[in-house]
Amino acid sequence: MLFPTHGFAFFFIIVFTISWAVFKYPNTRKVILIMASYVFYVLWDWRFLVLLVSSSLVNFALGKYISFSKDENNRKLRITLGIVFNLLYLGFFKYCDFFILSTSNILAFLGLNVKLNILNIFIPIGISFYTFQAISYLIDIYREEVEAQNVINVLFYIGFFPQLLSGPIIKAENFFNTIIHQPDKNNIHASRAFGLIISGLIKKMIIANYIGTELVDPMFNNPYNYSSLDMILATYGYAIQIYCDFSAYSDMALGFAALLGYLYPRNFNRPYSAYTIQEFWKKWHISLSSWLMNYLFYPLQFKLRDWKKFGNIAAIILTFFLCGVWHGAGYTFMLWGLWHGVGLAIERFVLKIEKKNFNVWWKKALGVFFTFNFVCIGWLLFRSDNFDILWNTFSIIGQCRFSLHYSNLFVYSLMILGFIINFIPEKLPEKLEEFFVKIPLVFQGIAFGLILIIVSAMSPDGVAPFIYFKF
Amino acid sequence: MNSWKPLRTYKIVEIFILILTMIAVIVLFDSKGLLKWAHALNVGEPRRSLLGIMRPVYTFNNSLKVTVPKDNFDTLYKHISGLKTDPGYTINLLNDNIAYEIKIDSAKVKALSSCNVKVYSKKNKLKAILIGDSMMGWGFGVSMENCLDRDSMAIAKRYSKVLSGLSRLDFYNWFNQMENIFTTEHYDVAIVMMGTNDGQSFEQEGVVFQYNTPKWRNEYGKRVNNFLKLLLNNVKYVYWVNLPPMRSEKMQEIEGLISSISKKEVAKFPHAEWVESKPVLGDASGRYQHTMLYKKRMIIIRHDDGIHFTNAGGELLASVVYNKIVKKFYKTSEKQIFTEGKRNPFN
Repeated sequence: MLFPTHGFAFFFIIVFTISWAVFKYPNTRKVILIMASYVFYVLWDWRFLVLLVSSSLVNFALGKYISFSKDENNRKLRITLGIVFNLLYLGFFKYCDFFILSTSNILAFLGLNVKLNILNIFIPIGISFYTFQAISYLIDIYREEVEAQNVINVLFYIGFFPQLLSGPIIKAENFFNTIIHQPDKNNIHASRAFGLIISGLIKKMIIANYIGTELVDPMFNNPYNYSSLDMILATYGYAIQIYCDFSAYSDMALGFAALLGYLYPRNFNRPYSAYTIQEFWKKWHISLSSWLMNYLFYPLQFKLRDWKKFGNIAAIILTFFLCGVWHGAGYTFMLWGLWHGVGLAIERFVLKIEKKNFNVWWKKALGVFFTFNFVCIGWLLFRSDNFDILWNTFSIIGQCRFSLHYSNLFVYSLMILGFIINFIPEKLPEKLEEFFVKIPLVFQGIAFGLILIIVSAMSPDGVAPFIYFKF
Repeated sequence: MNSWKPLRTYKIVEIFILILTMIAVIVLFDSKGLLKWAHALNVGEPRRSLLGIMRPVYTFNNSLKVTVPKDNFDTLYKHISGLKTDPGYTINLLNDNIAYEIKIDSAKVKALSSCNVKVYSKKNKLKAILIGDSMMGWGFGVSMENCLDRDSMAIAKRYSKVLSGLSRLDFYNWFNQMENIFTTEHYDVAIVMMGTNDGQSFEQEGVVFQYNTPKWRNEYGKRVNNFLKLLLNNVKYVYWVNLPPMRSEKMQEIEGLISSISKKEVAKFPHAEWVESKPVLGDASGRYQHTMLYKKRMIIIRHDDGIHFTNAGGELLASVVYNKIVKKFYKTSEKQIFTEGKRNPFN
């Protein structure tokens, strides 16, 4: 069940009604939301649900296990056990077959005739997201930022449906200390929530879908029929597509969670307006960047502090390498992570570029231009399934043929629109909301209804799955 | 939208008013969209009930002309954007009658099939149309298209539609789509892979055809037969590529049934050929395998879902079909035929 479908709309209205009807009973409400989340999840595959519930229960037990101990060494051992469990769990489903395949091919390359059988494991949807949330829960207990929770709260935190499949990855401390206490039936942020849902629908159903199906997929699938200029435009197109696709999911997740009373922090903040790579990562998939900073980069930096500058560089590169690995079991993802890690290290420690250097407009423009193009080269690595495909794409771009084979102005306009929305002043949506909330309630409903009809009329038939679902 | 600073918050009653107003607006102005959604649901009681509600609502709204603004907007938008409406989605929403009876045009077929097939060159390229569901998308479809496009004597165009097939013509009507394509485009060869989504019941003129009953098998066979007639009225030759072995038992059962029906129908036409995929993608007994050894390297041939192809799997199957095309349509001196089951030599 995808967000932008009639089926989900019906599902959500039912969940919304029941959950607010039992508002007076917080635990019952959470149980209902957990059940709804499991219904939402089981529609993909019942086996996924078994794994989600098992993972949640084991993490609940691990949380209690860590919290019971007061001895520091013992706690360290227990948190290590918890992290190892989650990494093995994630690693088994996501990377085991890749590891067997790579080992088998290395052995064959070395002339060793060892037959290794692939395990043929299915990858549960959303596993990377909910496993990272589980790790956050255990580490925050270890750091005493949050108390070990009861089983309902843990199942709810890990399995709540708006963020289950593609995030945002919420830090346990934020969730248990703030978000979980927010629902108030007289204080629902509905205009903001509907605004986010509609902005998500526009980005996904119109911008991302058309750019994907009309421009990006045909060109990347069959690059030999296109020129260098086409492929460059397709690369820019993919950059806009992936932004609109992923940020749309996050916007809608935030919107649906807000209607149920839970206010999640935003996951994207106009990322292509960044002047530097560092700034880009503060604006792109913010919840993952924060997770990596909190639980990986800072501990690594601390461990490597004796190496001084080289310790910092190593920590950055390793963090981004692992960020690439998190995205998928493939060498191109690793390369994508390294691309960003090395780029960031060069930017910070060799070129010493910082945001404060961009004090005049032309420097800002140059910064945006270089950062955007750097990110786009990264997207080429990200989109290629293997090095053959990557090489083909680069070789076609390198042929320097500048004829244009695809000329639908509408799709190019969508690309420009997808880029421009990164530069909308932060205050503008708030101003719009300010105007909107003054309109009588029924007219607000009519306006939302009409916008939904317009979006539906402008959307292509069928809904393409979200790109980030595969992670 | 930096924070959740409330400009205005709502009470639960107010949100219900908002939602009900939205629903009313949508039911009034976009009952067609709702009806279309109900139409595409799986055949069964919920679909029947929803259609029972939505059809009169749509008819009533239509009589009041309230559906006109959205239709006009749709037309205007398509005109401005230059995007075309897919004829496959043009379906009759008010009943389940789908006309797809095709009469074979004997004279046309004779003329098409009797002409010399080995006439293709760089100037007179062989034109192939690739048709199918998502299996004709990434993997096999893309590899087949690449394979033909990189050949200087051929050119290919691919039409793949996710979730489509010959069962649910009320969701996507391939007959409409193909008839529309053939009015403006000319092809020599059709390559078809279809049936992954066809393991389900369908409704035709008020009659429910329960999946895998004799009535269903008979009707599905008729549809395959008619689709072949439609293709052979317009192209010289059809390659109908068998679905590959599937990982899950359920999908494997569907594959077995669809293949047996389709193979039987393909055999009725001298200018259609059944292309078996199991020897290429299956294990020694023709069963599903996720990986295989190729040039001493283990390659993944199937997607994680156990249904679709990876690029490598698609290339393997594409090379087999390509080989058949070369044998049949090219003068052998002009093209070197490569061993079946090996990867596409162009990559």
